[in-house]
Amino acid sequence: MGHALVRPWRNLSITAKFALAFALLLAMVLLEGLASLLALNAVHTAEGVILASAEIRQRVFEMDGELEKARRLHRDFFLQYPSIGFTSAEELYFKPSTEVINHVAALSEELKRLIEAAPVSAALRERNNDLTLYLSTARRFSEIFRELVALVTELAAPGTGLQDQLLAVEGQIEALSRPQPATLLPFRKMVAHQRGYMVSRQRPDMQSALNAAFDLRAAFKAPRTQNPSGAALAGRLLDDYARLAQKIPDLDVAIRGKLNDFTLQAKAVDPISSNLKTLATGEEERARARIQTVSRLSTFIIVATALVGVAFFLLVAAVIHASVTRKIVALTRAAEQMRDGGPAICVGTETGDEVGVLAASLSDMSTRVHDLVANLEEKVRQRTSELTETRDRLEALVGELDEKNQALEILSVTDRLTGLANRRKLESALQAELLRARRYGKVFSVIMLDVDRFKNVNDTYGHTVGDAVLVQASGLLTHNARETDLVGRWGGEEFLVVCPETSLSVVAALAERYRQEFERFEFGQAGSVTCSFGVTACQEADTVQSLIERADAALYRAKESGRNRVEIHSAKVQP
Amino acid sequence: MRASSSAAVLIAATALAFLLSACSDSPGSKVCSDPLGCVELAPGEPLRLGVIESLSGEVAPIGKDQVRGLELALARRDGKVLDREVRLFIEDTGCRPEGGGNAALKLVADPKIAAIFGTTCSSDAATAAEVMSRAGFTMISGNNSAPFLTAIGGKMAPKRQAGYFRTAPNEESSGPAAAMFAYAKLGVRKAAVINDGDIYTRGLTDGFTQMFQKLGGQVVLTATVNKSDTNMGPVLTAVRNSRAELMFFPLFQPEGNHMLTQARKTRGLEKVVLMSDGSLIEQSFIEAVKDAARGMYFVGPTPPAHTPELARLEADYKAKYGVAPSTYYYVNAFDAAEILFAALEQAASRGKDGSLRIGRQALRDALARTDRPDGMSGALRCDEFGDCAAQSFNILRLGDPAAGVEGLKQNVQFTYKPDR
Repeated sequence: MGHALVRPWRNLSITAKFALAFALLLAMVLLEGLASLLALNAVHTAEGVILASAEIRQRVFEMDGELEKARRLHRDFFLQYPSIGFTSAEELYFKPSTEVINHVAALSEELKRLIEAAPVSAALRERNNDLTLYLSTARRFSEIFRELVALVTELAAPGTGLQDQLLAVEGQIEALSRPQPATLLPFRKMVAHQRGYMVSRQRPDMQSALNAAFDLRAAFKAPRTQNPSGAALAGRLLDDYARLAQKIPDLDVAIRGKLNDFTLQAKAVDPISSNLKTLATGEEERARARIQTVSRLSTFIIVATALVGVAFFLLVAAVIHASVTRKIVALTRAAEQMRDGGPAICVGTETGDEVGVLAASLSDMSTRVHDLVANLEEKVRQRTSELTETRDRLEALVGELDEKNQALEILSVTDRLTGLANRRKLESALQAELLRARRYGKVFSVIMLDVDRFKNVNDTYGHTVGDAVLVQASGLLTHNARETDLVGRWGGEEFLVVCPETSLSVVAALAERYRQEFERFEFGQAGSVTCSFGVTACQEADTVQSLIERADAALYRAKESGRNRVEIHSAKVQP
Repeated sequence: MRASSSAAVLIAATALAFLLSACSDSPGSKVCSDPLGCVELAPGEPLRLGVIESLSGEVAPIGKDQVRGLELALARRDGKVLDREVRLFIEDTGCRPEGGGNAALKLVADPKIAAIFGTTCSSDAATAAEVMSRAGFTMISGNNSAPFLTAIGGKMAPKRQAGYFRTAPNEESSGPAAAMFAYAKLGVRKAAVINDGDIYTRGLTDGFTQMFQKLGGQVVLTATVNKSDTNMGPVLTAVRNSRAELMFFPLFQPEGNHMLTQARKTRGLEKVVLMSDGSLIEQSFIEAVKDAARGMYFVGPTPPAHTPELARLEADYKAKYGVAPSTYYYVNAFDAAEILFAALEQAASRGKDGSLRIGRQALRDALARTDRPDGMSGALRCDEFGDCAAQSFNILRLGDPAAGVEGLKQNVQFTYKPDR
């Protein structure tokens, strides 16, 4: 069950989870609202019932009171009419009673409508028939009262009522009976029975009075009391008496029937009002009880839904925390770890929501970054090692190159055969000296010498000997040159010595010394070899060419002058 | 062409009128068109019948027999009419007019009550019928026989109320039957009549008086006793004084009992013929007065013919109540219930939803149309005054009290059947 719920929940998107959570929270709120609304409605209904019941009860009391009033008037009528007379009693009691009954009828009609419209129970509504009965009984009360008054009027109205008529007839009979004991005795018997009836209202008493009247009639007819005119009158009077005396019990029976009718009416009606009151009171109590129940129930529902709501809220928070927040925090930490270059991270990927997808992506990314970093270091190490190797190789090559450059440089300014400065070096040195001379006014001189008859040596001894002569001559020159002098091979068997800060005279002497040394030096297979020398010093506006030309000119003259000699070229001395 | 279109219009109008009349009182239509209103019953709602009978006092056995007659008729229908369970709302009148009026008042307050079954005593019926008729109800009795309730001499009686019916015979001829027997068979020329003041007994003594005087006889005393009177001495003295040869006292129990026993003890009345009516043709009366009733005459409705159906009904009675019926009035009650049920079935219309509507005037009309030759008590045909049973009266003589009421019923002296 739990599993069945957990899996779909995990696979829900965050939006759906939040939507579901908030929908459920909303449902809780709505449920609470609904419970409150229903409770309020129930209370309103119950309130309506209470008000209606109270009104119904009030009306029933009023109706009952009115009916009671009518009955009181009815009683008073019968109590009072003998003393105050029929007309007054009718005015005082009968007519008001009719009005009261009309009011009762109106009240019961109103009550019927009230009950039909009121939100009362079916039990109370079913009392409608009772109210119809109440209403018709009230009307019947009025009718019966009217009939009763008519009966009583017929029986007992002063002067005109049967009773008074009977008494009047009785008085006349008495007048006729009194003279004779034979008639007086039955007359008195008749009167006694009649009075007895008036007290007992038992028909046999009246029948006894009638029987006495029968005897009286016989007495009037008796020969002893023969009085034809009197007997005839007495007979008529006794007929009237019998008629009245028979009618009076009939009226009494009718009156008793009417009175019994009232009793039956009361019996029918009293339980109705009492029932209505009980029902209305019960209704009210039930409504109050319902309010209490509803209040209790609604309080319980509200508290319960509130508690469930809080619990649910916490649950939702916990679920959201577990499903979303905690993972986001975990993701954040993982991201920080990643940033700090920590080891590869693994964030829970068990859910199918966005966080789960994000966590899975982050884990993949982390693994890949970690792998990448690990590879990079290896590669850096490899590259560094390769670079070091390359650098070393390069350094070696550079050293080699330097050496080669140096050698090249040397080679570029050195004559390969003799190891002396070559013509380019000599020209550069001459140029530098010329510039220095020009800038500082320093004098420098040059010696140009040429191996005499070197062609002969080559021709005689070959080029190898010739080259050896040249190498030996170079050694001789280098050996005898000063530290600051530059000795070089100008070309072929010509050599040039550049003597910085040396005057022409000093250079002439130096040339002379070279000449002598050459003269003295034994050049191996070639034997003695001499050299001719031309010297000159730099002059203003000199160029390398002009200087060399002059030295060459001096050399030419030395050649011309027999060789193995030093010739000087100066501005003053023109050879 | 014109003729044919007119005919079509006429047919359509007739059909519409027929439909309207057919639908107007069906529960489907919202308004009841019956001039007296309708009883509306929801589906499954029981059919309510009011019952007004005298169920207390000396008359209670007769009242109970009325209820039993109704119950037997219901039992034959499994307690159902119009497929509805029948619920009875029973009220006791105490055999007093005011009881009838008030009981009817109670019943008519319930608009769901379809009809009233009752009453026992005619005096109650007069007041009850007045109330129920005014309320548009229908009432049927199997026991009332006072002429005042329906018709006297073929003319509407003063207490006749629309909606009132009965299956007990109008005793309009009961008094005359007694008078004829007294005058012609017994040779009586002077008679005293005593009633108890209610319309039933008064109707009987009046009927007796008229016929007796018509025949040439003399009613020398007309007296009244009150219900619940016990001292009959004075009135018996009056009877003696009147020199009557016959005393006709159609009283109920216990007044009839007192009258008889005290008459037997009154000097000078030894030779006076005593005659009462159907209300004393009761086993309980014979048992109460025993020998005092010997030689006494009774005038009462001719009992129903002994058919197999009646025997079966009587067997049902005994089986259901464990005793034999004391009078035949339960048969009239059974008939009353039967024709009421039949009328209800005719007057009712059923709605599509199973609801039921019974028009109150329709019910009265249906009852008035009753014409059943096969009634348990005889042919039943209701006339315009509400009398549904034929009149036929027997004069019985109690020869041997030990033979009981059955012996009495067998001892028929005279039968009188006036033409309707």
